[in-house]
Amino acid sequence: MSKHNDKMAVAAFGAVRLVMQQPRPTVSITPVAHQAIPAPISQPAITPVSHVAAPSYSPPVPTPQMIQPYAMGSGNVSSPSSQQTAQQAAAIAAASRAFTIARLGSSKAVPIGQVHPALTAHPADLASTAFQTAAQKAAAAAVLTAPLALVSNAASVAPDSMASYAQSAMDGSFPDGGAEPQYQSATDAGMPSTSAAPAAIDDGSGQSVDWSMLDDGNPGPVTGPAALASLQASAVPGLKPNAAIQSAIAPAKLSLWERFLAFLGFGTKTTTASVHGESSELQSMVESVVRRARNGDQNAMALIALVRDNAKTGHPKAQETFTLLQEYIRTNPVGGVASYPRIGIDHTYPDAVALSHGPLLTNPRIGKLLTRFGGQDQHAIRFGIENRHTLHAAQHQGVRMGRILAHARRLQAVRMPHSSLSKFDHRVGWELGEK
Amino acid sequence: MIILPLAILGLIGTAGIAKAKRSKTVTPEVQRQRQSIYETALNECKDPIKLRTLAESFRAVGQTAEADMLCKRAALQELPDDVKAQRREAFRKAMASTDPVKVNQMADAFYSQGATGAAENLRKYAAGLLQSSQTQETEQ
Repeated sequence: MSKHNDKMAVAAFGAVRLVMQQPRPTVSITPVAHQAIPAPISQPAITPVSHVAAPSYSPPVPTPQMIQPYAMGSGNVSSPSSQQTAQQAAAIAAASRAFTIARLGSSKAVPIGQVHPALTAHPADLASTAFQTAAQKAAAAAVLTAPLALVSNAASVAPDSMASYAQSAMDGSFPDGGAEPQYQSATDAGMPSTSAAPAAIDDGSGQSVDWSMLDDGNPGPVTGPAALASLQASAVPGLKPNAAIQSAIAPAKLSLWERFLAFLGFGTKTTTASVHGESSELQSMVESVVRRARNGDQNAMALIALVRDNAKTGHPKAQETFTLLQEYIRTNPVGGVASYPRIGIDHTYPDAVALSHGPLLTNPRIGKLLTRFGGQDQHAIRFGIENRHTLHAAQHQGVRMGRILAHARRLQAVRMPHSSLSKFDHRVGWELGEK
Repeated sequence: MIILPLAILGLIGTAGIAKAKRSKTVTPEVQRQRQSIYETALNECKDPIKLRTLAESFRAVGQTAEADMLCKRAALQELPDDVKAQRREAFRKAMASTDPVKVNQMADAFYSQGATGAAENLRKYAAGLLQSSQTQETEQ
């Protein structure tokens, strides 16, 4: 029996060694400019309303660049993903988990004083001043100022047209039986015509995108072989590395035994998966969620409500978490040390409004923009995009820039025809009768 | 001799008046609670029946402005579909406008109809437009 066990152990060890000896996929980073991205169109794709019979929309065919998260430097994995070793999968899973934790612990992930010179420029002028070198400026200008006139809005509104339109809309009594005779084109109203704008919009790179690509909830995954390699390769010299972000992007070091466990399918647990470790991790997440909810993050509020509902149904894990939530809320009242130092006014919003009247901020465009920044700044911008509600006095300029981009994308999204107003603001969707 | 009964009557009358006054006076704490209930109803309550019930309660205690607003919100759901579509279109167009004055006018129009969320978003957007234009002027 023991001989049989020994043989099994030797066989398993041999299998592990075999896996370890497999060639790792090499990751090559290619600049975005070298990819086959069509040149920006020279003419804005605006058609007068009267010439448009009906908006036709065909879903964009997914291309590798669209599938790539944010088109992150167009990193290409030369060997198929099926040949990834268990070690790499475990490392990626650990990095992903660490990054998720870093994202949840928003107050810890973004310390003050780590400002990249390229990020200190005024955010409303991203294309011209936020980059250090002339090449960066030119590339950013090409990205941000591609000829997209759909959301550019230079025309002024006629003095009384808006008021009459508002009144008509409120009364529901447009002169022409619900139609809008005085606004047959975008220029008449001084606004882009949402009724006639096509659902699919060329974003300047030759790809058709629909409004859902502007969705905040669709920024693309943040990790993956290409993204991870790109982040590691694009470290900015001269910046003190942030511990949380460093731990997020650094591959986890696993022992041979852990790699063996990972090979057997138990590789998703981190090395700190002790009872105490899980408990302290849960506690930190609870603190983070409560802080975020107190600062107006609706995702955090929804998370707390979900935990409460599940706890009521008797889910043991939810009950444990809910107890922790209640205890933390009781021991840390609003206004105590647990609260963020709130900024009274969100100063990023005016910049976002200005930026929202520029070109359409699609995922590919933001992906191109992100490739101009280093690993930590890139993470900070991503963090800002995904946490636009985060109001914190100690805010990294990259986070600020990300929040501006997120707000601007949100404003551009709500202008799109057939976009979800409930997603923009649940009150607006309900008030305006959106189903 | 007649002073004593008059003094007693006077005391009773004063006590009665004071009690009536006290019952009509709303303490700041009660006012805060009412305000909290009102804001919660504006932001969270989506049931027209509950909104109307709450409006009646507010009307009963003399807060007619709040009661009217809640009734308007309840009526929003009973509008015809085409009117709702027109309002959605108007909101989208206002959110794309570059004129803060007109956006504020639209916000007032929405507010007068009980759409406080839409009005709030439009006012915030108008403030952003105004501030961004001022920033651009300063930079120039």
